[in-house]
Amino acid sequence: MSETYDFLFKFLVIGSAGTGKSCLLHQFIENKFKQDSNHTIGVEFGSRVVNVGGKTVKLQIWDTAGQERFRSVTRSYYRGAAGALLVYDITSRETYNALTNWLTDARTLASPNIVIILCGNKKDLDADREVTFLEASRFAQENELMFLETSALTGENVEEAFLKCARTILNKIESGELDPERMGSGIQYGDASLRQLRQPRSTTAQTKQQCNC
Amino acid sequence: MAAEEERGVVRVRVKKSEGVLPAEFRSFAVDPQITSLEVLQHILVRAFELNGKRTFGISYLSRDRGGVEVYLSLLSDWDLDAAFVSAAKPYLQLKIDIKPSEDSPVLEDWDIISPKDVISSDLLPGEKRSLAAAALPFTQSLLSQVGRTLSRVQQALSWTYGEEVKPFKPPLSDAEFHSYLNSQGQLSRPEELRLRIYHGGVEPSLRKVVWRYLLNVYPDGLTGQERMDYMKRKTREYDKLKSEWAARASPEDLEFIRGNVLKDVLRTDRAHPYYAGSEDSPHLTALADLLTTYAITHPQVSYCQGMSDIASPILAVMDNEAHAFICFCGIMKRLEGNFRPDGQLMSVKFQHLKLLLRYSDPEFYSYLVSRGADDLFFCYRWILLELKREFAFEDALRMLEVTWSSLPPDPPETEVELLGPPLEADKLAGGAGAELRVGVDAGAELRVGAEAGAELKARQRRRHMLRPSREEADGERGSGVGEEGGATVDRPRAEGEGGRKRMT
Repeated sequence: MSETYDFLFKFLVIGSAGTGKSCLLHQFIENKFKQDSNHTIGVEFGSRVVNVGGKTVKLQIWDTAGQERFRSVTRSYYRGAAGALLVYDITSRETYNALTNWLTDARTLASPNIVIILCGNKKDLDADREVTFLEASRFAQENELMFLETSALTGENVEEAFLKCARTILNKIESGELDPERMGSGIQYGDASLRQLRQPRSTTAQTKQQCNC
Repeated sequence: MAAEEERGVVRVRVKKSEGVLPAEFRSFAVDPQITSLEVLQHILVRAFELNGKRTFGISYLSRDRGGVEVYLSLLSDWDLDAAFVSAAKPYLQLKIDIKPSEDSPVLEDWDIISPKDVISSDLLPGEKRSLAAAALPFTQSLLSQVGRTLSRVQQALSWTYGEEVKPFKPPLSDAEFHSYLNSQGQLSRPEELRLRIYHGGVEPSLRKVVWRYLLNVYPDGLTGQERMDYMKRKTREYDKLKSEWAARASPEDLEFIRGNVLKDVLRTDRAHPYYAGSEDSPHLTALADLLTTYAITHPQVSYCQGMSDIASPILAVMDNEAHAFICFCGIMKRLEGNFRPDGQLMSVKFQHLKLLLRYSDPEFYSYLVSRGADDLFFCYRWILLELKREFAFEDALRMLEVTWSSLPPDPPETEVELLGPPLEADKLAGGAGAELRVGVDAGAELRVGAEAGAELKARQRRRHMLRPSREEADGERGSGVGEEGGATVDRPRAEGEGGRKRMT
């Protein structure tokens, strides 16, 4: 039996090595912390169907390797991603400093419209903190990112991060800002139910036109 | 993308004429880099199901200077090279003429393995043993070696053992291993030893010894005593290299490499008893030191994720840091290309895998296409780590030794190199980079004048590790990504980047 869902979103998890990308994914999918986690080679996948604003959305999540040496291959991962979790480690300034690079990559290689949420992971290690909440939220604001501090260990804000990103994408579809049918949008329709969703969009478009007159 | 996909492949169309029988046609693709005439002959035998009782002549369609089409005979590898170079576009047109013959046992009289025959194929078809037989033990190499032809793959996949061959045996024991050594302790039958291991692996206690052969550490013909001396000498060489970190890399580079290595070492096979426990256990330190030394002595490759998975089983088996390093250098000679920042070799491997899959299982392949998964990225780890992570640790050891034994021996000419080539001279640094890298003795003055030094360091560091493929990616972007409009925002390129692009 195949799962039914209204939309499929392609998500990326990106950020420097050792920031907990795979653990965030594991926590989101399995609801537990992954001990003895291996570093990711290339790309690994996970998926989960979630309910967002009355729609069922399948998140197809691409968990990438942090040490991005094989760019000629890895850059293809970005293609057609609708959303991304951009992860740094609050106890490592180095991983925070690398954010600009990752951000450029995501916006350049995926799509300028990609919806990104910044995740300051390892929130549970507050004693070792090197990056303050304030500083990161300022960075997020300047770069038009959503922002949460998360803990893959305790699970705090993990689900929220994925859902928040999904909800934003859904809102953008409903407002017409994102067109799922555009090539490389990272969004696919699930079953027939989506057609209803497209209706209001064309109505909005018409309303706008009328306003312009 | 289409051009990239077809890189390294020549399409071949063949017409077979045989007396009054109707002509038959076949087409296939080969990799010109590694297709010898002998291989081609074998492909043709398979393609037209010619049995061994016939001989055939091959010719290829060429144009002479006046543009007139003529068929030229293919009698040697040299002819074949000429055909690939001059007559392969859009495809190589071959013609084979079958002559009835009483005695030309192309497929007869085979016996198992002689790997060197496969490698150096200068034999004439008449005196040739079956390649299908010889190719069998190299099945696994398809996974790890770029460039077997599709047709070779086809052979491998459709191959079944003859009844007289017992494929599975118990692991190689110490006593049996000694039967492969002569009275001086020299390994006299390296190919047969590999075939034996291919069929059953090695007893765990013997791995320490036998893996050094499989990883091509020993040059040919060493006696027992010479092997011991050799390992002692190489160990001293390793110890010296390890003591020279500070002289070979700047403190910043060293710290950067060390940081990356440690991050991964602490996450490599920690569930296995050898690496379990405290984070400052000697085994973890040994693994980290080995990888750091490799990164510093091989600045063109440096450290890259995945290397710790390659080194970890070797260290666990050798239980000796220096010996493990020597073996690691042996295996990296073959695998190093996978870890190069330009990613080209991995791209080629993905292309080969894709072609192979499309050929061998078109139904599954089209399913993947329909799901948008025909990039096969889910195989990345399989290819890079040669499936090591797909097995439990102990099983992986067996799988690895069997895989390695499926490759022909490739002993070093004189000795295994522990020191890689330096970074090439950087134009911007006026060659200073090269001079600094080569032959710097411990304690030698590495710091240059402030300005040049800082610039150089910045560049070294960038190249060394800081996502160095960024430069390459920018250069290639036009051809790779960017079919999807909007995704092609080119970063402005700094002056001199073009020069750097060719460095790796």
